[in-house]
Amino acid sequence: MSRSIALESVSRLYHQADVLVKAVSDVSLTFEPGEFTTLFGPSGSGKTTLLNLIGGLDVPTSGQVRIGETVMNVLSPSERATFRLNHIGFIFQSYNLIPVLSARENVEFVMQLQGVHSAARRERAMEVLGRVGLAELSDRRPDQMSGGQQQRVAVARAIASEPDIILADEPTANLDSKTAADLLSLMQELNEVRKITFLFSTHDKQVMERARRLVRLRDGKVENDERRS
Amino acid sequence: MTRLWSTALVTTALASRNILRNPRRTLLTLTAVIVGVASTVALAALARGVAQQLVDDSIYNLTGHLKIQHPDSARDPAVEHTIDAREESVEALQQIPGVHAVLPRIVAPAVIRSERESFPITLFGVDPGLEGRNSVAGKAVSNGENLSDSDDSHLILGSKIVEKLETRIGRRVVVMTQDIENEIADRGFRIEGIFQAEVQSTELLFSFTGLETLRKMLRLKDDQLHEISILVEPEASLPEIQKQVQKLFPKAAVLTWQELQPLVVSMTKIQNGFLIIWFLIVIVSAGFGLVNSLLMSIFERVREIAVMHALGMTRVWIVIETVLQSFLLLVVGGLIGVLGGMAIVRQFSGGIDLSKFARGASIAGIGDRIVPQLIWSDVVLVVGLLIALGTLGSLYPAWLAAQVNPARSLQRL
Ligand SMILES: Nc1ncnc2c1ncn2[C@@H]1O[C@H](COP(=O)(O)OP(=O)(O)OP(=O)(O)O)[C@@H](O)[C@H]1O
Ligand SMILES: [Mg+2]
Repeated sequence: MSRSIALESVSRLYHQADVLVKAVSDVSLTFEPGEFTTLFGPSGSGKTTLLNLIGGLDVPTSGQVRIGETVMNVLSPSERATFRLNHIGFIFQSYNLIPVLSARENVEFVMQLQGVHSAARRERAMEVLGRVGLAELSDRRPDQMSGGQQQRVAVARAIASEPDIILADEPTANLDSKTAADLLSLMQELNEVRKITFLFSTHDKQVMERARRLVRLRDGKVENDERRS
Repeated sequence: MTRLWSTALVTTALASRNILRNPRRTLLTLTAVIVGVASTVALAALARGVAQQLVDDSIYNLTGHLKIQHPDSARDPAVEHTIDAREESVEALQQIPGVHAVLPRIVAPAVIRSERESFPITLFGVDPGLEGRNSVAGKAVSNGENLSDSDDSHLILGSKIVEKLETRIGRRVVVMTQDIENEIADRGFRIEGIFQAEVQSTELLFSFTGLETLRKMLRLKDDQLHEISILVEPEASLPEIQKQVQKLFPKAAVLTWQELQPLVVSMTKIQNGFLIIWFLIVIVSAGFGLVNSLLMSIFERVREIAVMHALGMTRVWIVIETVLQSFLLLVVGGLIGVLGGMAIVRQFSGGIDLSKFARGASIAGIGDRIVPQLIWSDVVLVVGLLIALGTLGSLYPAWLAAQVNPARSLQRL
């Protein structure tokens, strides 16, 4: 069920107007199942790129990304999509809910792609919406909710299908500190109870304080990797 | 519930909601589809009506569905090109299943002369009882009396030629032709009746007298005829009857109306050509509108598509979602368009009177009144093709949607 994440000499190069940008440069890292890790570092240090590589939204220029037994970079885009569907939850900085679906439908979306029966799906969606305190707003469309509410729906969506891994790219960047703290507590609890592996990228001190492992990136390289107990 | 089924359901929900998301744009595309379908359906019905009118007219104008004649008379309608029509053969014709009417005729190219003018005509010797309602020859005259029987020796003329001859009912005219021995045969006729026809040329060219009167004038034998026109029941198979008729008249030519009236057939074809061109215009314009609005919506939704892909929706389903949008639009637009087309056709179900604004129509051989005919196979073809081609066209925007790069699209903002 739980899967480790292994990056082996991963590099991702971009050509940007004749300049070669090493967004991620020769990174080797391992994340054990159930770890709660924060990636931080200055803007442009490669945090988003690294998360995208792990989630299979992007493929490394060289090196290997392995999740459990699966080597991500040899899969086809569709196989990667299916792998994400079954094992990885995403939370993005700017909510990214599907505008034409209500809060509940957004949470149900992943389960629907998975083929979860509609009654079970609905029950589960309402349960996680309750967990993020939005049971009453389940019928609202994203444009009828505040930023904080939308991000809570996004968290609910990521956790509803109980993935092995949740990748969150600056999830608290657009939230006030109270909302951010609530969401972090929820994620911490999921991490401890369900043993879901969490991988954050952040500039937020609050997030860093809660993490049990802190990885600092600079210019696409790991500058520091620190575990706390 | 299988994964496929529930994915299909959510994809359909997404597609239909994305259509409704921009009502103005959707309405515009929908209008193009509706107008295109409605106009094509109405025009197709009109074209069918015109074609039917042409066929009916030419059959009514003495062609019939089948005609038995001398093999050479199509090339040279000379008096000596007769068919051997013994009474038992003619009677046997009537026994063929599906045959509605058998109309024996003697035909002579002739010149008609009044005190003032002379014109070339075609004089038909007919049996007025048989012609009845089956052809213009049996048509009740609008003025004067009809022929009474085959021995009637009066003349029925079209109103146009009467006008040109500057004569009238009751006056005598001279008809001159050649008999079977190549001698000049002329005879005075009294004009007994005047008929009117859908097409002016019929009124100018066709004149009628009794079958036996003309036989005597041409000195033909009792079993000699120039043609036998046959009308069949609507549901009868023409080629089948043609075969049986040919067996009864092995030496004669048995021709279908298509063979006798190639002009009508080619006019129908030309008309269908125009219809196809119109339909292509409709498909191209509605298709462009559709593809264009899909492209716009995809550019607006790049981020959203990236999110769906990141959450695990495969590219195939992203393609399906996009194609489904245009498919749904086309189905709805197509249905409304068909209803619109039907409404238009219904408006004109009493027939369109062309005589008021199209004098040329009658010269072109089209009657004055066109009744549009809605044929379901036409409608199914129009809508089916539009949906198929429109959906095919939307594969391009759909393919673009599937190319959205999630890493890049989600990078910032
Ligand atoms: N699609 C791309 N094309 C070209 N260059 C890219 C692309 N994506 C990222 N980069 C470059 O790679 C480097 C790392 O970018 P990345 O977004 O991973 O940084 P980050 O640490 O997430 O920054 P931030 O804190 O601002 O989100 C940057 O220099 C960026 O400009
Ligand atoms: Mg980033």
